[in-house]
Amino acid sequence: MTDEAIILALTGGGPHQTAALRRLYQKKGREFGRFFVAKGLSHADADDVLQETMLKVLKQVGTFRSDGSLNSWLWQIARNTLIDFQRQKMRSTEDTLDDDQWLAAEANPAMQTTDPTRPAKSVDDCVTKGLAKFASKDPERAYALELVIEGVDGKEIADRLGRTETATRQYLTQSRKHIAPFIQDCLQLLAA
Amino acid sequence: MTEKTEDEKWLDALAASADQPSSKTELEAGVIRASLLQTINSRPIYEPSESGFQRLLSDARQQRLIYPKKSPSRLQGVINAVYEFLATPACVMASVTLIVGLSVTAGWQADQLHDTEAETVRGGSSAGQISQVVPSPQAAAAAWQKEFLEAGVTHAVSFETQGRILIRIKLSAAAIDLLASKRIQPPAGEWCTLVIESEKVKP
Repeated sequence: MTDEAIILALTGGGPHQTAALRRLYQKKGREFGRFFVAKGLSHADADDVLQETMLKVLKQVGTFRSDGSLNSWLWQIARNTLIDFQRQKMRSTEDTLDDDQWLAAEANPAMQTTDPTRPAKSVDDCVTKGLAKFASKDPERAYALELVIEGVDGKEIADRLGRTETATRQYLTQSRKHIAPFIQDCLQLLAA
Repeated sequence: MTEKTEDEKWLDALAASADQPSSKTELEAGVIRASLLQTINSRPIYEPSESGFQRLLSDARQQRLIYPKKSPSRLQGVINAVYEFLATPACVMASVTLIVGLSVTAGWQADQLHDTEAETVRGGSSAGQISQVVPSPQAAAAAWQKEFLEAGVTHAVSFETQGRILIRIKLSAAAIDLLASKRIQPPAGEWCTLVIESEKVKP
């Protein structure tokens, strides 16, 4: 099913509309859901954001310009929906936690991705811990690097990040410098 | 072609692991790649569920984002809706009922009019009168009635007695023409009464 056919079916109503929505949900739902989880959402929250994303797609499908990329447009909606969700969640968390609770939450090991006091057993262990910390600080970049490792092409990564291909290439190459502080000690072990 | 920077080489090595890392950059990228692959593989895969899709459908229907059929333009939609309604058995039945109803009502009104006119005749209208003496008033009245109907002349028949029949006639152009064709000069006024009497009764 081409992009044009999907858009036509989504705006047309009837059984074709439901079929197109199912196809889109199955195809993009997996990618969106994984993106949401990579950005720190639980599976239950990812379900909710996916639901909201698909509803927005249906609401806004009439505004899609045929000369644009459907994939970029869909990812833009997914990213914006995630941002809205995270802002809303942050507001509700701030409303429910007082200062003491914030301190307690920060001290809670369950809320930390790594335990910095635990010594690394090996270079690999050290790198894994460092990258986990990096991912919690910069989940989008970590997600982008995962896509590179999985062999996703530059255009697709650019669509998902909402950047141009050139900007995405630059963003990815700069990642080495961003990761370095988190694995510096590990690399010294590697050199040794 | 410009030579690749170390960061670009690092990215290339991250995308495709070298079997034999030949540089510090490739070695570093290889370690990071292995670590990230381990993270990816250990993470539960996100799969959109059928129940999630059903929930989406339900919400979309509730918000009227899913239509039962193709949505035409507003004008076309109205036209189609009218055609569809007209074609329904309910509408056909309703139309038949309406036409029959109107016919019955019109007939009732005509009868009412005739009765009223007959009452007026019985009450002694001041309108002009045409008299006719015939052997059989009933046969003559039937003949007149037939001609009035064919010419579209509004009239009302009143059987006053067995030997005397009154026909109240509205003196329309058609009525005047009909009377003229029989060499009868209609009286002045809007209405007149044709009095048909039996020769036996007439003194």
